[in-house]
Amino acid sequence: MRNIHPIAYVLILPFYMFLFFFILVPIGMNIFLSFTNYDLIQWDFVGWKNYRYLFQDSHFHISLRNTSLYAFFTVGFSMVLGLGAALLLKGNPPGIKIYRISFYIPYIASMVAVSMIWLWIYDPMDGIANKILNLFGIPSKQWLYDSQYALSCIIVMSVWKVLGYNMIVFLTGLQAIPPYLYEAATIDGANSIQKFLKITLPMLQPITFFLFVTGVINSFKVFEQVAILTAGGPSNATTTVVHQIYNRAFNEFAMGYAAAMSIALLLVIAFITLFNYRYGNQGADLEIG
Amino acid sequence: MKKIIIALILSITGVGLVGAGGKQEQSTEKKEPVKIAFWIPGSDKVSEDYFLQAAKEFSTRTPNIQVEVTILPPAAPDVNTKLNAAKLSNTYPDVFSSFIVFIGARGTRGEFADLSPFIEKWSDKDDFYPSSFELGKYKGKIYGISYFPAPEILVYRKDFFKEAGLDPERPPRTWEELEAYALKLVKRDANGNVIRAGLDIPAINPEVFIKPFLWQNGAAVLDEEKELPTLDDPKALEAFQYVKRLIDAKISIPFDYQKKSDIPFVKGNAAMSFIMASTITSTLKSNPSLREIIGFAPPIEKRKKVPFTGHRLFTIGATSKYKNEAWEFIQFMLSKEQMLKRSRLLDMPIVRKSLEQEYFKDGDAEFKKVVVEYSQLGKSAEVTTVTAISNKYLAEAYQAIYSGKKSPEQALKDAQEGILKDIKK
Repeated sequence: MRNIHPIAYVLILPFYMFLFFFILVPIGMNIFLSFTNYDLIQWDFVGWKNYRYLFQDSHFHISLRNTSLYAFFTVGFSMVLGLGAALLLKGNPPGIKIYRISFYIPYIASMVAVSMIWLWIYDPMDGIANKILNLFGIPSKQWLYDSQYALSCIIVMSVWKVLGYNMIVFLTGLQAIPPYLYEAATIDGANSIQKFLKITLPMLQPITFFLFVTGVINSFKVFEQVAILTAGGPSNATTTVVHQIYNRAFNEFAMGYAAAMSIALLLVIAFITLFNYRYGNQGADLEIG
Repeated sequence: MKKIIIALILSITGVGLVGAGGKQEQSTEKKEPVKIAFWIPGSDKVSEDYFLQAAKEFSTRTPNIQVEVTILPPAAPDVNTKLNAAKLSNTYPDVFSSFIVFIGARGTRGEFADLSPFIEKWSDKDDFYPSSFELGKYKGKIYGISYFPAPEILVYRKDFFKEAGLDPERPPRTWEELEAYALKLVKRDANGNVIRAGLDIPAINPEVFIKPFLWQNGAAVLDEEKELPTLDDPKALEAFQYVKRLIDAKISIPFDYQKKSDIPFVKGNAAMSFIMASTITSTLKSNPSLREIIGFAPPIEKRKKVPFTGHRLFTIGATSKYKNEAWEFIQFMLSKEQMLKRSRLLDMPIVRKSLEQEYFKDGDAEFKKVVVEYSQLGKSAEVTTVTAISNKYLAEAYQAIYSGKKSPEQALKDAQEGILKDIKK
């Protein structure tokens, strides 16, 4: 066993304190609350009642479906488009800095500000989205007010926001791939597609895995854009699990039930993450020496 | 178990309590003035300035009570969040200007103090309209006193009426007229897109819009006594079918009713709209030339004339240590002098009988008359513990018919069952 200097424990103590008080204690309290009917005033133990109701609650089922769809499309599109943008910028085209900044700005902008901008874009009367459609003779759409389009609208906005981040991370990964691998492939007669499939993608696997896992986790926590753009409507077409947790907890004061929902969400995210680690991280440590 | 948890919380917050206790002791020794916290949801700059100024005036007049004003965000969900945080951190305000919906959601759950003992001893109480006290009442206790009726008034554009060949001095009065007028007033472009709504019909957050149609037809969302839903009433279905007909006629531009600045009428894109009196006031203040072309319709009638009238009420936090001081401040805010000041500065209706003559003496008499008529006939959000749940299902039922996902029958049936199921949970 390695001899660790006591000061090392002192140095990592602040982090562990943070982890304990701001992560583990709230999780523990949440688990406790999920077995009660706490309503901000009083509580009693209700056993598994809150968890049983999760199976009957149609709002929870709709929110799970919406959240899964949101996560699938947001993570999928943002990764594919992020990689595409990174590949375009890899060759150092003129004005690369401007492109990088332009793509990255939405990521650092606050979600509230971004949502307000997109509210305007999707405005049925004065929004740019309809103006563009009208230019091509296509009738205006009701976007956020139409259950057919509302969730897609939120996904498009979220992809736009996170795209720059994915692009920067992919670009870093692309620039770290040793050029001699491509040179060797060229000598062996590989074409561009073969190089991309046999070198670029495998070499990007650790980064892809990282972006995928963090993207899925963030997508399952989606709330702000839903609250601002649609308030979960129309007809629950955009309600998500966190939006439902918020409504139950802070509008209906069903804290115990909301806690049960959040534990269910924690389990779903944990399961997906473990699944990713088990089956999605194969060959992450490629030997290239 | 409860004891262990309470002990843990006390031990964690112990240091803070000791600090607070020290301060308290010090203040008694020095006889420092009592500080009370007054929270009010914001609206516009003029209104916010008035409340800040009034609190200052009160503090000058009664040096032993200092009022600290906090202007909250204007939207109810944001106010809700602030109150939740205050409740959990034990920083609930001493005086809170509450929306009526909070009387149901919070007053009924013991967050506000019962004002009955104060009111009983108050010599001015008989000067108030009885509804000022009735509105904040739940199971015999008065949790708030209404000082600001805020009706949703049917407004219309006289210039658009003329353009459509309608008499600008003869606004709609019944459901049938409202529908017929809206159909005549709607304006579409070559592609069939609505470029000017005949009538504003919200797509999201529609509770305030849909409830009056139920009430006008003799239906209700809830039986307030039993706290049970009544959406299975055929009269409720009739109201929903009427609204569905309006929606299907495609006479409106969709909008979110909570976002007041996005209401098409406010942007000049609608001929008729149900709008809160304060929104009308601020619209006219920012563009006074509109006064000549905006008309006010009387409350719409089917079986009854029942518009929606929101209310702001003064409440005292149940946990306030300074209830007497808080009451003193409320009395000041409800004084004739302050009420008149508010009516002049903010066009706020009065709720004291003795001020009626004064109120109509100056300002826009036509608008004031309409505001009073709507306020007197109006109904507010239900004061029950299940209002939040019923509102949620009502909004869902409305949105289901708006999007064409469900028929009015199915939407109401599902809402009725949903409310019952959620209440039992």
